[in-house]
Formats: sequence, structure tokens, C-alpha cells
Amino acid sequence: MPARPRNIIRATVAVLAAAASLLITTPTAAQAEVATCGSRSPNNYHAGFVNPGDSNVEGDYAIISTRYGAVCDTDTTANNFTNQYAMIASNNLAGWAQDGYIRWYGSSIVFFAQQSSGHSLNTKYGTSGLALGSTYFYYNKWDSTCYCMEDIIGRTLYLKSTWNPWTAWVLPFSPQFTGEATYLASDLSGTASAPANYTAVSGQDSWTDAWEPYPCGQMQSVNDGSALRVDGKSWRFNVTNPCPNFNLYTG
Amino acid sequence: MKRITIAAATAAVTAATFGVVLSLTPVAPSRVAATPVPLRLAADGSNNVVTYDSEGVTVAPPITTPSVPASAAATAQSVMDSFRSQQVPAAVVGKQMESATHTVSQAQVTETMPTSPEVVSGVAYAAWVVTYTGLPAVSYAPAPPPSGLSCTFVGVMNRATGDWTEFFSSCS
Repeated sequence: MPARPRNIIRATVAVLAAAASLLITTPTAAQAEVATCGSRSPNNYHAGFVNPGDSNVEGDYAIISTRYGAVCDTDTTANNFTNQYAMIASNNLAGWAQDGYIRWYGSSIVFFAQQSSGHSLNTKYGTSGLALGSTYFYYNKWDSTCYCMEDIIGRTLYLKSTWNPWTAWVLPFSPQFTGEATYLASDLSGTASAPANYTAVSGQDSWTDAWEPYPCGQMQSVNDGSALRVDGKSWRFNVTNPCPNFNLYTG
Repeated sequence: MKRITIAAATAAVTAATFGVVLSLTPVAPSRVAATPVPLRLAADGSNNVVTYDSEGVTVAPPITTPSVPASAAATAQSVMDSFRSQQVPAAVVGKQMESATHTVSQAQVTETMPTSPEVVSGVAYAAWVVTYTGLPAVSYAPAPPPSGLSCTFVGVMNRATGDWTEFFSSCS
């Protein structure tokens, strides 16, 4: 019976895969969120670099290292997440295109990409967990051949808008590179010794469509979680060389 | 990043009696299509074919295949058992896994933007498709989701391998 050996092999692979999944997403002892979630903001909480409006930029990308972030325990819904991403948004933030990685309560870390015209919302997820320490390119790319916005992770196209951001969104666009969580009680992923590292922070020139390093000093730092929590920790934001590369972590 | 772009400027030259006045007026390259980008609903069904344009996924009625499915793809029940154990649906559908309206059905799926290495762009494959409707929208941006949206969450399983090839949510 050929089916049985195949099933045994498949079952063995499944067990190994499950074990590997646990290995790549198990938090270290240094990471412990505040258990009680508390109140949340409808806009979520953020830390990182933001330009509220840059007429020279129509897309962006960054390389982001994959780190674990614990989330608080009293909300076990899809609304309780921690993530890291690159984003280009409408000036009024009513529409956006973003991609990065995300972790919910009780889950492993997976890719995500999300787009909103301002009237629609599309989200695609990765189907397998990410290894801690791995790094990926996260692009939000204006494509002049389709008059659309594309979310690309590595070399894989995740989302392609059916709308034109130049007409759907308010100008100038807002590039944003941030970690985000629903609750301040949750951690931004990363630790002091192994932070979530944003490198090659770049913009897509709105005149030439070319990718260029984002100029230093053109973005504002934000950190909604800079205040110490009851566990004595806070969200940390450090600029690294070359500017505007930066690290995020909770510690 | 260029702060001033002369290359994209248009030069208007005006001859004057005693010289030439060169006027440089920056003009951004056109970002508006001459013909509108076709807009379709996220799931615009016709002939029992549902296309999710932003995600690059087309779901068509199944074709008969003699191949033996993977064990996880053997029955609708085994597909749902696998679906429930997956991290993304467990998080996104969550506590509505049993209560929300959903279907599980066999289909022929074609992708133009595959994220799974076992799927080839443009090549149809036999699949199981789990579809949840009426879910709330969740924003991962620094703003709430557009108001009034209702979301469809879709999971696609490759019938031959039992692997999940797509998880996405389309809200309109």
C-alpha cells in the first residue's frame, strides 16, 4: 500500500515542521509583556520614523529584521497584534499600502500586506511562520505600468491595487516606517541585544520612479510607548548609522 | 532623494524683443491613466467564477481529477480541521470560526501573484477554498479601517499537497 508510507512520511514531516515552528517563534526569557491589555487606541500605537507629507516620495521600502514581540493577554482577538512595517499613506491617513510582519496573541510571526483606497481594505498574509533573525525587503511600490500600488515582500508580489493612489489618496503621500501594537501593554518586537532593525530605508522618487536612500533628517521620530510601563519597560527607538536606519525594541 | 528635479521640468521659451526669457515650470509625470483603471468588486462573480483582483486569485468551479488528494485534503471535514489549526485563520477569524457564515468547497484556483512556492502563476490547480463572510475589518495602519466594510476571509488549500497556499481578506 503506497499510501501508508507516504502518510507516515507526511506525518513525520508535519511533526518536525511543528517542532521547527515552535523553535523559530519561542520567546526568550527577556521578553514579557504586561498581561492586562488596558485601553486601546483606534489608530493603534506606533514607534519609528514618519514623514507626514513628502511630495518627492511615491513609494518606499526597508529591510526589517524579524523579531519576536509579546502581546498582552486579556484580548485574544485579531485586534491584539504587534507588527513592524514599511508604509506609504494618503496624507490624511485615510488610505495606505503597507507590508511587514505581524504576530497576534498565541500565533507565530507571519508576513502581511494591507492596502486601503480609503473605501476598501485588502490584506494578504503569509502561510508559514518566519524565522527569528531573518531579514526581508518590504516594498510599497508605485507601478506606472498599471497605475497601481504594489506590496512586495522580497521578490514576491502580495497585493496589487485596483485603484490609483494618485487619485484615490490625498497628496503629498506620507512614508512611514514603524512598529505598531494595539496596546501599549504589548511589546514592540525586539530586545536591546536583538532589536528589530530597519536598514536601507528608501523612498521611490515621485519624479523618476527610481529608488533612492531616504535623506537623513527628512522624517520625524515617533514613539507612543516611550513612557515606562508597570513592568518598568518601554518601547525604545534608536537611530543607527547610516541615518535614517533605526532600531526598535522593548526593554 | 532629489529635492529639486530639473529633468522633469518643462521649458517654456518666450522670445522677447531684447532677449529670451526661460521659464522652468516643474511638472510631475502623469500619474493618472488615460483610460481609467478597471474597477471591480473584490469578488465579482460571473459564471460561478470569483476573482479577487487585488490578491490575484481566481476561484472557478472544480474540474474532475483522478489524482489522490493529500490526507488533509481528503474531505471537507479534514480541510476544516487543518484550517482551524492554522495560525492566520485562528487569529483573524478567531472566535468566529464556528459562528460566522462560511463555506468549504472544491475549486479550480488560478493565481497571478502566488506567494506559495508550490503555485505557478497562471497555472490552475485543484484546491479547497474556505470562505468566511461578514467579518469585521481590522486595520494595521495608524487609522481605523474605512467605515461600513464587511470582510471576506479566504483560505486556499492545494488539494494535491494539503498545503495552504493563500490566506487573505477582502473587505468592501
